[in-house]
Amino acid sequence: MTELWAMPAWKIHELYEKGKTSVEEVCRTLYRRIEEVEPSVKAYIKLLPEPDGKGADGRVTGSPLGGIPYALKDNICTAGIETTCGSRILSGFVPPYDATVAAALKKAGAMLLGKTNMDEFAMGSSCETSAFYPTRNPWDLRCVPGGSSGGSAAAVAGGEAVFALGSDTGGSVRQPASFCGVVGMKPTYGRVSRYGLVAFASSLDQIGPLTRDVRDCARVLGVIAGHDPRDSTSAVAEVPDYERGLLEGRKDDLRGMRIGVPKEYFAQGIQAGVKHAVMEAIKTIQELGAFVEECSLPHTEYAMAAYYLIAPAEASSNLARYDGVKYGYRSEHWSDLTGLYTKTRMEGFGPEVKRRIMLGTYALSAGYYDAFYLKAQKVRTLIRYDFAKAFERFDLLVAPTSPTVAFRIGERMDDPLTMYLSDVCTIPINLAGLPAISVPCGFSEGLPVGLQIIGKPFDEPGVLRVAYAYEQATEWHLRIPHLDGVEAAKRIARNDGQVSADE
Amino acid sequence: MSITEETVRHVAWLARLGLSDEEVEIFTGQLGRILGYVAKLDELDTTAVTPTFHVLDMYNVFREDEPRPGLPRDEALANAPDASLGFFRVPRIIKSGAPAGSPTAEEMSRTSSRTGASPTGPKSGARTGPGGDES
Repeated sequence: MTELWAMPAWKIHELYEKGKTSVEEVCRTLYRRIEEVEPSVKAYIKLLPEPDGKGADGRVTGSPLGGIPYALKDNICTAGIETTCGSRILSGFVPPYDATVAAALKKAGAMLLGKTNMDEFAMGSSCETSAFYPTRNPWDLRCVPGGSSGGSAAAVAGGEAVFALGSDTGGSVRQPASFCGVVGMKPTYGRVSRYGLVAFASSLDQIGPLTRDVRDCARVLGVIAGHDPRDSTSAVAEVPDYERGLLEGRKDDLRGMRIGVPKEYFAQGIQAGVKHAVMEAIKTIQELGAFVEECSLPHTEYAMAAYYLIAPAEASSNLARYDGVKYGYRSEHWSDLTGLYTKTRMEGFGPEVKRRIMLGTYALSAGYYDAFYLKAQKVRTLIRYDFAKAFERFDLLVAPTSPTVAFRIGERMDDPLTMYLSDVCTIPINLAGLPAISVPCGFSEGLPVGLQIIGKPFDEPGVLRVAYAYEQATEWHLRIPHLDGVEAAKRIARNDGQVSADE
Repeated sequence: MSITEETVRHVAWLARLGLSDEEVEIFTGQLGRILGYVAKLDELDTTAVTPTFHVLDMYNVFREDEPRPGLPRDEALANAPDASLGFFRVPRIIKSGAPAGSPTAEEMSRTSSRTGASPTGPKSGARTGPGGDES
């Protein structure tokens, strides 16, 4: 029988209902697993001594996530529990309130195990810009788990949480899901409330689930989605029953579905092994009855450039609040108020965050606004039009989630542009505000590959339907990394000579 | 595209971001390369294109202006590195003509790292170690 720590939430829930296991047993199993693998994976920034939630009080069977242990990315505010955003500048910050998603999960009876590691302020694609330590990929501890929600993805892949939440600004849920062989979804912009998510780029940020399978993804999304009066950008649109939609629909039949394959996503430095796995997955989807045809999103090659102006511009404005006055870190080396600001920010932010604040401030500054920021927002319109046009012919689009599998720790840290290219297949979707999922679709060089399925705004049901049909026809989602605690620790010890623990 | 160290220092000042000389040098090169890459956007003629500032067709989200309880003051101040008498405490910003009894910069500096300013303790100073919060 599968170990409890390797089971999806819906299966654990079934065992609860049949009285075959208890919340105590599940939590105990998870903590034992964490104790075993966490020293080598380092998925968490903060692990709670006991899970936070009311799932153990007997209300378990009433709620689909009752008594299910989970993890939150450390940029999602939790009342009374330190939230650092992977940054020194927020060290010691204890939010006075819960993010709307954290409150929703609490209400559903889910049990919070801890806060997961991430790139500082979600700026990064590898978890290496964390002010604390890099997280390691459970499939190969020499590799990054992806980022920025790398801790959340590694926690799920390593059996250290049943599911987790991450945030996705340019691919930060989907890319680590792909690298770690789990399911990760970025919902439509506005589908999930951002209240209590520490802001990075407000017009792009969206919270999404990382889960073992597509059914869990639908289940978690159903709990966190919906309008929130405290986030004026959250959509008023009704939340369908995503999970029931999956279970009631035909799992083995995609006839009538029209699926486009944007050729540009297979051109930009894609690894042969990744291309092969994704093409095989597309073949499977075709065999399930879907009509599949190549299409073009001609402005794809401009998405990266537009993103690296828009996201830093919004970030430079959002991060102006970290001044050493209201919360978090304050420098001790100042002589006046301005010095307090500049020194606090100098000592509190890491290199990647500084780089993006600089880039964004430059793009917004007098004389450059039209040439950079406004230009990028216009190109964003062209990228949106590309998708809108493709969706006149197709219901969904499929592509790789990332052009490569997980890379080695340290490999891309010296060259920001190469690191930025990790997100080339996910960024356009954020710019257009669309929903997209990454599902495991095979392996290349022993590392997981992700298939990305992209939908029209608010067509999460369509995205989930194809993802579920594909998952039911394959077995990739059932694979778990052979992460033996002792062996892993030995390998780490051997590699520590080459892999520094921090930048 | 290249930018000068002077521009980098100016932008850092706009962002109130202190940079070491070494960082100025590194960023001058890196930002130049990134800006060179994003200059790719100039290949596109966008004169007739409207910018997308927001992806949803959503304008003027209104709500009733009804009074509701806000965050209690002590909770709002609980995370402050330095708070006193119900206020955030910052260095003196008025250079001269301040009323008698205002704390001097030296006094502020002395008290800025005192303990007990907030229920969760002082936040100033560097962390003891990267894993210091793991429990």
